[in-house]
Amino acid sequence: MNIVRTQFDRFTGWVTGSMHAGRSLSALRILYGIAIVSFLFTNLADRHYLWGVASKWVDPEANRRAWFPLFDLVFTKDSAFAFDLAYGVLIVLALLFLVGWQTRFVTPVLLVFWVGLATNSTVLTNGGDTILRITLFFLIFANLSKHWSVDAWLTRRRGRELRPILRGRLAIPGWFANAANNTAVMLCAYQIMLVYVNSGIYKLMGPEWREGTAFYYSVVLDVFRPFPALNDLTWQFGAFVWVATFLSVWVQLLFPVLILWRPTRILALAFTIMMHFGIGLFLGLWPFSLAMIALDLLFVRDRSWEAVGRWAKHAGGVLRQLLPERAPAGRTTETGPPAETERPVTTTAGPAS
Amino acid sequence: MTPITPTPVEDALRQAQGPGTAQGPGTAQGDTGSGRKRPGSPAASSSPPPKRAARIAAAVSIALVGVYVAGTLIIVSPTTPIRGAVVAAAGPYFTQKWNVFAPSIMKTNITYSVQAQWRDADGALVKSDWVDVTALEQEAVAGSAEPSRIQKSSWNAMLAYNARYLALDAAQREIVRDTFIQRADGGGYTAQSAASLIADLDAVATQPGSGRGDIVRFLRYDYMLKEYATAFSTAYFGEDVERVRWRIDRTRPNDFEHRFDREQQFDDTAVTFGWRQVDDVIDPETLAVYRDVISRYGGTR
Repeated sequence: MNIVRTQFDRFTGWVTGSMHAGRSLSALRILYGIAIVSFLFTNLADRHYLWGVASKWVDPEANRRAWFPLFDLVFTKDSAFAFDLAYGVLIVLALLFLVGWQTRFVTPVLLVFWVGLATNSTVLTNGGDTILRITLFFLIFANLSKHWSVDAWLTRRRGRELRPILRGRLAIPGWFANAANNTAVMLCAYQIMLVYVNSGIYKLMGPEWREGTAFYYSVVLDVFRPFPALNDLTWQFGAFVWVATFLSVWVQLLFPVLILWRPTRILALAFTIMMHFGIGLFLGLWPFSLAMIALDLLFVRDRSWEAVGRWAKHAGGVLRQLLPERAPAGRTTETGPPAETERPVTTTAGPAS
Repeated sequence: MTPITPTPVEDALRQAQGPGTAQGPGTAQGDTGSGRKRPGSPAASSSPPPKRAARIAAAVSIALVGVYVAGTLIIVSPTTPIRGAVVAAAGPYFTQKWNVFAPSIMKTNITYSVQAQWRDADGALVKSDWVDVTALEQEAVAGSAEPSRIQKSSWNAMLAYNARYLALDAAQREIVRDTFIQRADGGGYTAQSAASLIADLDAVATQPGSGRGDIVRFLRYDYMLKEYATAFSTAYFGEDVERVRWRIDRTRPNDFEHRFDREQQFDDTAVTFGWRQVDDVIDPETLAVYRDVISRYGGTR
């Protein structure tokens, strides 16, 4: 009983003490933002055909999904103008989310508009939309703009935290915000593991996956060939097809185990990130790929992000010395990790003993 | 509650009460529950010491994760007795299935082609050429790093429709490959009613009454495709379309072992469905959208 109590106390400290995965969540916000913004712009010309006035043919099926009524309110099929207005608002929300301005309030509204758009059709969604929809709900409760964001920039410039909207008696206590953030992180981490293990099991049931040829079949269908010549290049070498197929099955299946130990975690994350980069490049499924990469990055610890930040700053310094005339002295770039290293690393990196 | 107690909880609470909350740092020590309400916390009314609040938060956190883990494991499991109830509770928002590209990976292209009939100046029916709707939509794919989602529109519709077609019995399939048009009482032609179609299909079922759901699911999608084909062919041919029909074409790239062969390993297959009567008016806004899509993706007209 005592050990349960100790473990529970330790967990209580972990979950309420501070917000975890600050940098991973901020990187996730940027990648989700890019995924959503790029999606909205690549579909801009076709929006009425896919979800608007011209998509009424799909309603007999679409109306049967019992979505939460709020989602049905946002995008109408009756007026092209009202639809465009909502689409415009969604683009603005996605851009605000991407740059990290008032994310706490932008995220839930973005979710309503984003899911609202998807509910207008049943023939367009894929796994990427599902994973974005589910995790974005959890992430409403997380702090997504602690780093690399307009919110963080404003905080730094003013030298204090942003004035919370809920103040005084309505103020949200720190332990509560921390617990919400960390629960969201746990749910997202579990969600990505579920995706990997579940699809790993399905793959193991398929003969093409067991034989090691499934990769080939994934790149030869017309619908997934953005650059046909590039796709055909990938299956020229049988050994590559076999290795890519084999690793896809086993890294996914063993993902929860591989991430427990740092060396295997690095290998597993390197593989899944590369795999999703490949899915984006060869199959054109970038929104899905970016969402999966963003969720993979949740398993990168803040300490590792800081190390990358230091390395990037160092590399940037070396680069500036090599190219003295290119960059004005003393200026850093607008985005990216270097800005974060203004603060001494020791204050955020745990025990200062 | 002395601040010196070095348990992780106390430690954490001191941090939690620090910067980032609306109160001063002093309240972290001593009595933190000095009458402040904590809306949203389960113990908002009694103003408990944060140690207790933190424990409740931790318990709620564990419970939420536990419920989600249990719920999703039931949802992704193929068949368990309580799956239906959990899926109903989770709604479409959290329902998920991760069989992407698996178990058996998709190996064939599927396309939706449509054909239309309209009346010429003499009142005689004119038959159009076939138009490959999916090929036109998938013009969006090649050369685009992130293609428009139009790539999936008729492609996904065909996958769903084909699955519903295959769920029918052989005799039922024969009926749906035939026309759904009948002579009207006062001359001319009219669409068969949904009720009569259901009755016809039910009558030839191997076990009458058993596959009613399959029939309704198929007919619903058939109706949707009639709408799709009507709007598309009206915009494409610029005529007052009276009848439409469509075809599922399947082409299959060579298997892995024959990937370098020039010779096509699998024959193309086609299933053509019967004529459907167009019985509704397409609104001009919809027509304009279809015309725009057709012209942008290189339709011949």
